[in-house]
Order: sequence, then structure tokens, then C-alpha cells
Amino acid sequence: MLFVNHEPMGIALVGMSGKDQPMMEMFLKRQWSSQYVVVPDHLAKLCILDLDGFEGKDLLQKQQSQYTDRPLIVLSVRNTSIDGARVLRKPLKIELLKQTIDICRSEILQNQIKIETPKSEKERIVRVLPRSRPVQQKTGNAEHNLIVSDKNIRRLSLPSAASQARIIQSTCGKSKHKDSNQLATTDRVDYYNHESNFQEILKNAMELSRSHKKPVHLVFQDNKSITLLPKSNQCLNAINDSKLKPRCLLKLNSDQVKIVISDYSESQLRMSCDTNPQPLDALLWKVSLWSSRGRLPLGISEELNIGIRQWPNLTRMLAIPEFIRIAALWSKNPISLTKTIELLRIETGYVYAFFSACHAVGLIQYHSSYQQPSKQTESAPNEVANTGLLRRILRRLQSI
Amino acid sequence: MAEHKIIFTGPVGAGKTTAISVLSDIAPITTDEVASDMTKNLKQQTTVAMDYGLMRINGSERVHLYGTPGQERFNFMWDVLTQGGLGLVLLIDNSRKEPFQDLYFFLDAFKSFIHRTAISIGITRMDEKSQPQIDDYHREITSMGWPVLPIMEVDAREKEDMSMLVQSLLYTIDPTVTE
Repeated sequence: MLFVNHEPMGIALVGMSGKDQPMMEMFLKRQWSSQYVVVPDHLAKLCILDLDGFEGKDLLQKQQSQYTDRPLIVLSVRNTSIDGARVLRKPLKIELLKQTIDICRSEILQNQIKIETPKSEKERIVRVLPRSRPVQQKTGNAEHNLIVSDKNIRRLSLPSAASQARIIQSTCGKSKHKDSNQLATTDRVDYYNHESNFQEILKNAMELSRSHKKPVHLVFQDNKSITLLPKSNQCLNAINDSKLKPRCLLKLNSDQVKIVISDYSESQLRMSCDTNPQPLDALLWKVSLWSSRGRLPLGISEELNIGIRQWPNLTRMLAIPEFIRIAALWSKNPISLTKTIELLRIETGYVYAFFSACHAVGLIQYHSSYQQPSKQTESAPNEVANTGLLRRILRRLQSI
Repeated sequence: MAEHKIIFTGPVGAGKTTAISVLSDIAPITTDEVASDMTKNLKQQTTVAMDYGLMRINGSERVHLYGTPGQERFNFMWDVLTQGGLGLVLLIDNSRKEPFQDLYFFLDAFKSFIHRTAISIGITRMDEKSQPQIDDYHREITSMGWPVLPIMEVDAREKEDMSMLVQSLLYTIDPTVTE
């Protein structure tokens, strides 16, 4: 007998385009790596035919006339029935495809279907396999290159720890690790009064600019200025970060920063300015982080249940990896700041700083109830990615 | 050997191939192949067009990065391709005529996979065309009945952008993961 239980069963993929065949091969390999191999049509025990492919009907007739005893699975966009074939309607459903292939396999095993193939053909199966699996072959080559030559391996530089620490200290304050016994204590909360510093002046200027639909200049005593462009939601900032950062910690009044409505158009102002425009929200976000330094805005309770209306555009804002975690949590379920710290096991400063920035740009939503956070994948146990795996991938990504 | 995969999708030109190449530890595989007997009468070369990259994460453990063929508006094999995937990265080209149509199409096409796993959405080419803005995408998503999803402006050539987008995908699956 040519085919025995422990040998891989040959499957022919007929009528599939150059795009679809590699996907089907990948599926078979992933699903049953040792049970099936893709082989040329005349060597196969089972055939999967795409009826909608080029000359699909002719290929079907050929299958029906030449391989009368061989199980045939036909894929078609039409709801049709074909004698002697199992028709699966497109788009393909994985479970149905798996079941159908398994049924065909059992039938073949039970009935001991014998296709009269000369013994020499068995040897040919081995010889022709690599040529009939183009994508796997290429993948194999690439992996081979990875092993034999590390020329292709991307050299990734680790982020500067000092630079990361500077960002964290300027946005989230000094490291204050609390153990679980300390997490719920409200008397340790640090607050800042955002209404008396540059953050509030900037926010007021943005509102003024939007309500008048005109550019607004924020002019400091040293004549350095930031120009807000409401139409494009951008700003022209002539003050570099190292000079703006300390100003965010100072109490400022209207004498120290003047708000002037401009008579020039946005395009004229752009032309006359050397600096590149930045998104307005990114400026307010940055200013609120530097103002907060890991503290909460005055009047905010850490027991309030909150969420975010939408994710901040973190790729264009001052951010640390912990902000992604907090955003992911707050985008799912309402939760308090205290619970956030407890659940994510991160420093209070990160959570408070992130809250302050989201609060400043209007992303925070308040809720009356708390819901136990749930993993998005709970409903699909087969596809739940385990925590260890996610951790390892994240570690790899954070080293980029 | 542990094998996992992340799927990248989006319309043609959105940056899938580039995104995979910046994250991959190997040169990405994007190949044209000689047409088979059945199709060679139509054209000599046919694109396999399933972008492939690979991230090595821990010894022999690896994450495969697959890009769906972008030139097709619909492919009956997408369910097959996404099977066993960790999640979906959707890239939308903001400079196209109707980017929201692309958004609707891909969210609908991968709906069941997204519900089983997670999605993060990167908006590319915003430097070429600033409208619609990120806020507009959030509004569209909400109006379609989707929950709050990670949507960010990205430059597919920037590995930091792509890293952050994939991190947002993974943290959406489980925000409590710690190092």
C-alpha cells in the first residue's frame, strides 16, 4: 500500500492563483505539519480545487473524469452542488475547511483507497516536494540566511537609559515606587495647581484662538513667542524644549506672558517663521506633562472612575512605554487611578502624569461605576496569547 | 519551535511592506513569481504578494509578520491567513481619495478576527495630506459601533512608530503584562 497512517498525505491544490496557493500551503503546514504535503496533481490522495480560478470548470471536468475515486473539495463563490465533491463556499471558514479535510482523510483511511501508482512514483514524491512549495522554500532560505549569515539581522540599538530617565523625571517626577500596602493611601497624593501656570495660559489662548478663528501669539518677556494656528490645529514654536520646560513649573501672570490676536493669516505666518509647525495638542500634552511631573491636577480624586474617549496620538506626542499600557487599560473599562496603579503595578507618577496630559487635551471621560477589567481575548481561549509570550514580544519591540 | 504571527493589512501603498521590513530581523520576502501554466497566457509574472518578515524574540521563538496582498479588495483566503494570528495591524493611507471607505472595508473584512484578537490602526502619509485628522478617524470608528481602538499617525519607515503601533496592539490584548 502506498499510503499508510503515519505518512503525510499528498494534497493537490488545483486552479489556485499564485497568491492563494502559498496561503493554503501555509495553512496546511500550520494546521497539520506532519500530516499533509502539497504534491503534484497526479500524486495526490485528495484534491482542493478553486472553481473560480482560471479555467476552473475545465479543471473540474478533468478531475471528475481522471480521478473518479479521489475525494475532491471544491471552493467556489457560488452556492452550488457538484456530484462527488464537497463544495465549500467562499469566503472560506477555517473550521469548515478543517472539518472537511479531516472527513476526507478519515474516508481515505477507512476505505483504504488505492490509487494505482507505480512504486517509483513514491520516490518522486520526495523529489518533487521542494519545487512544489514556493513560499515555504523562500521562507526556508531566509531562515537559512539568518542562521548562516547575520548580515541580514538588523542591528538594533538600545534606547539610551539616561535619556529615558530624563524624560521620565521631567514628565512623571522622581521615582516613587509604592508597595501594595501604600497604593490606596490618599494622603500621599501630590497635586499641582494647573490654573496658575503656563498650561492654563496656553489652554486659554487655544480657546481664544479657536473662538476668534484667528492665529494667536503667546509672547514671553524675552520676546520669544509661540503662535497658535487654529485652522490647521498647529503651532509655530520658537522656544526650544529646554527653555520651555522650566517655564511650565513657574507661576506666570498676564504680564509675563502676553496673549495677542494676530491680524496675519496662517499662511503668512508660516512663511515668515523658520520653525516647523507642530500639532497644537502635542504642545499642550507636553506642557501638561512638564507641569505635572507626576502630580495630579488640583481637585481630582484618585478614586474617580475614568476612561479615555479615544487613544492619544502617542507616536506624535511625548510618551514613555507605560503610557501605552495605561491607554490600553483606560480604553477598555472605567477604572480609578488607584486601581490602575494596583492592576498595572506601576509608579503613581506615570499614571498621574498620563492622566494630567489626557485631562488637558480633553480625552478623559468620567464614569459612575467600576468594571472589572477583562482581556479582549477571553471569549476565544484557543487564540489567547499567553502573558509570557506578549511580554517577550514587547521586550523585543521596546528594544527598537 | 514556537511560532506566532501578526497580520498587517491595508490598501495598496499604505506601507505594509515597509512596516514589515522595519520590524523584521530578516530581509522581507516580497516576490514576483513566474506565472504557472494556467496563468502564463495572461501574464509572464504574477505577484505572490504575501509580504513576509520575521522577528526573533527569544532563542528559537519567533514571530512571523505577514502582510496581506494589498492590491485585492477582497480575498477569500484572508480567514486562512489570519488563523492563529495574535492580532491585526491595519494601515490606512490618508492620501487616498476615500480613506474612510478603506477603513470600513478592512474593519468589516476582518471583523471576526478582530473580535477574537485585537487591532491597532496606523494612519500613514498624513504629511502628504493632513485631512482627515486622527480625531476624524476616532469619530468614524465610534459611529460604526466599535469600542475605543488605538489609532495613531505613523510613518511606516520609522521603526519607533511601528514599534509603538504593535505595542499598542499587544497591550490591548492584555494591558497588565509587565516586563
